[in-house]
Amino acid sequence: MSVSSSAGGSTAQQPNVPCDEPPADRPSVPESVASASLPKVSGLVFLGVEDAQACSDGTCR
Amino acid sequence: MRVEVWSDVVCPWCYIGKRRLETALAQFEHADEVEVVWRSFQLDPTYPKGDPQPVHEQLQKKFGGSLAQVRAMTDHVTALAAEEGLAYDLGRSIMVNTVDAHRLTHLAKAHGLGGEMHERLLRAQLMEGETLDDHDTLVRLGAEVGVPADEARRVLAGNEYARDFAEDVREARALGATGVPFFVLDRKYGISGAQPAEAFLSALRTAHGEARTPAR
Repeated sequence: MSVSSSAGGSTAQQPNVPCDEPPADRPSVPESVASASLPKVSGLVFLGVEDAQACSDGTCR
Repeated sequence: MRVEVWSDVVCPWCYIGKRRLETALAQFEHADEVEVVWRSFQLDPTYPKGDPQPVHEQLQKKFGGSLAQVRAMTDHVTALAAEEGLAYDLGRSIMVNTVDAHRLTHLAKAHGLGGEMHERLLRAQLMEGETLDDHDTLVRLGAEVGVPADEARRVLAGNEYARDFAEDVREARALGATGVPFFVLDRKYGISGAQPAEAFLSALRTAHGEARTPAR
């Protein structure tokens, strides 16, 4: 099990990458950014709040 | 419109994300045009098979500290789950290797029961303290949603659907997923994480509008 931010993503474990930091370390997630576009990854256009893609939620560094 | 969701049955955020997506779909004007497809992802592929351990103890091993500190950590996600009507009991949750649970879900998909199976497994893991690498448990949970017990037992005893499972994981990574839940709309838009229902609703409307716009 993984726990992460209020934006909510559990991040896959990777060798030698510390994951699952306590949620208290997470940055808060901005509200009202539901339609903000994020950079394309593998051809997908990401919508919604930026979070697990950038590992910015305290789950994976 | 097709919404694919990559998810793992031991992922507390995945159940929250499922509920938030359902909330969005309940408000979406074209929900009848949406097909939701559940895809497999494994958060910890290295977790050994046949070694079920309490989740809190596993987290304690990772982070050190006391069990009380670990509980405080999971209290946050438990509180957010409660806002979605989900009564998590992570103190009872058992960490397992989830490959067999995913293979069972693929069998359920073959019977048109993928969503029902995934829902049942999430509830069993996060609310009921079931051990989801135990074959008898998986057969019983499958039967509850309509998966024939004899088929489930045969699949779990062998290696059926292992390739489908692996393909799901490979595709998730190819699409840029590093964690779950991971949502893809018509293979064009991605949403990472259990985002607010409003974000899902906005994305559904964006994708639907795009689908209706004639190509130039």
